[in-house]
Amino acid sequence: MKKLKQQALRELNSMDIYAQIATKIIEQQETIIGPVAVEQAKAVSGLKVNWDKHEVTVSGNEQTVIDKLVDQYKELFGKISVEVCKEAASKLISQLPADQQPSSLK
Amino acid sequence: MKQKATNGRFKLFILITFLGFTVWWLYIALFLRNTDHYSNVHNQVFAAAYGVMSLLGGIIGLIASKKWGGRKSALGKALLFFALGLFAQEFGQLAYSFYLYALKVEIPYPSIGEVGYFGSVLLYIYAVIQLAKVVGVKFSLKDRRGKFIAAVLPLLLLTGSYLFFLRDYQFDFSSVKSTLTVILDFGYPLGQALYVAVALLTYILSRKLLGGLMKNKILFVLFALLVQYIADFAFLDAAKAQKVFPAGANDFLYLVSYTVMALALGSFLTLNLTPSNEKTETASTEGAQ
Repeated sequence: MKKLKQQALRELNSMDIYAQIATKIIEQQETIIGPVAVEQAKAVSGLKVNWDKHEVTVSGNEQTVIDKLVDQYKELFGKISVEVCKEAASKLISQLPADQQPSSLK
Repeated sequence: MKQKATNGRFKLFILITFLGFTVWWLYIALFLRNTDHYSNVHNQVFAAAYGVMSLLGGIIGLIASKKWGGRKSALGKALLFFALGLFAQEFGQLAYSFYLYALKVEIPYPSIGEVGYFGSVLLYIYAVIQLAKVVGVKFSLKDRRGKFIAAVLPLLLLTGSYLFFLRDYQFDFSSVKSTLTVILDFGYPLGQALYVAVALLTYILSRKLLGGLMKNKILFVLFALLVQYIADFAFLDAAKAQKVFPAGANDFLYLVSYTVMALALGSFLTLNLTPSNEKTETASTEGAQ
């Protein structure tokens, strides 16, 4: 029971981390390209963005959703966007086990 | 779709305006070359009017800047300051024309026109620094090669500019006016060398990482800055040799540089991206096939 609870808590935490990663990435991109960063994030399936409240929800396969978000920005500026995303998420990404890290941010 | 049509219309408008001014300039250059350039009405009106292109470019830049976040984002700021640079150029043009044709006096140096012309140099420097931020120049500055290029290139251009324009310069700090003249005499060539140096640095240091839909738009702006530099350089060179006159080759070069900058800023009005949902759908359809 305790083990299950711990696992559930860990999953909840990592889910929260993915939302935080997405938020950090959007914030960082917003300082570079303004509202277009939010527009692009809203176009990513599995990502629900309410930027007025600064709320981001990740649903489905979280790693894939983050990869898609990075790809969305990559389409704009190429590899530079990936570097910006990596930098934005660097502190949070280290909190995730290697197998749960989005491949685009490794 | 609507965006694309607006973009097409704006490009057409800029190009038609450019073509109109070009035909007019050719008429002056070919058929009125033996008249007095300062008293001929065509020369006067052309010199006072072609700056409208920088006004158009400035307006387009402001609209594009708003789309990209205005003062709140690096790209928005870059576009905003390029637009302000174009407005400043137009202010300089109008001020010079005001001296020549309204007051009917020789343009004093320094004059109020310098607020526009020198102001535009400073605005372009700030704008291109913002553009360097956008394309992540800082990532390339982490390695030694990047640091070396960033130190050497501006130094080379500044030294080259100094040797070409200022080598035998006679300093005169006897009055406020002459001190201001010294500042501007140095400020123009060195300031212009600085904005083109940062533009070249931005290009060199972002070459390997910059890609995607924005690549060509960014390169277009850097190219526009290079054209502006050529126009500025040619003007300073002609001014040094006292070969500047209304509707001369220098004015035409400025017309070209304003047009290129207007088109470059206008390219930021549209952004045609495929939403990732569609991409996923396309991918699954392709997979099914």
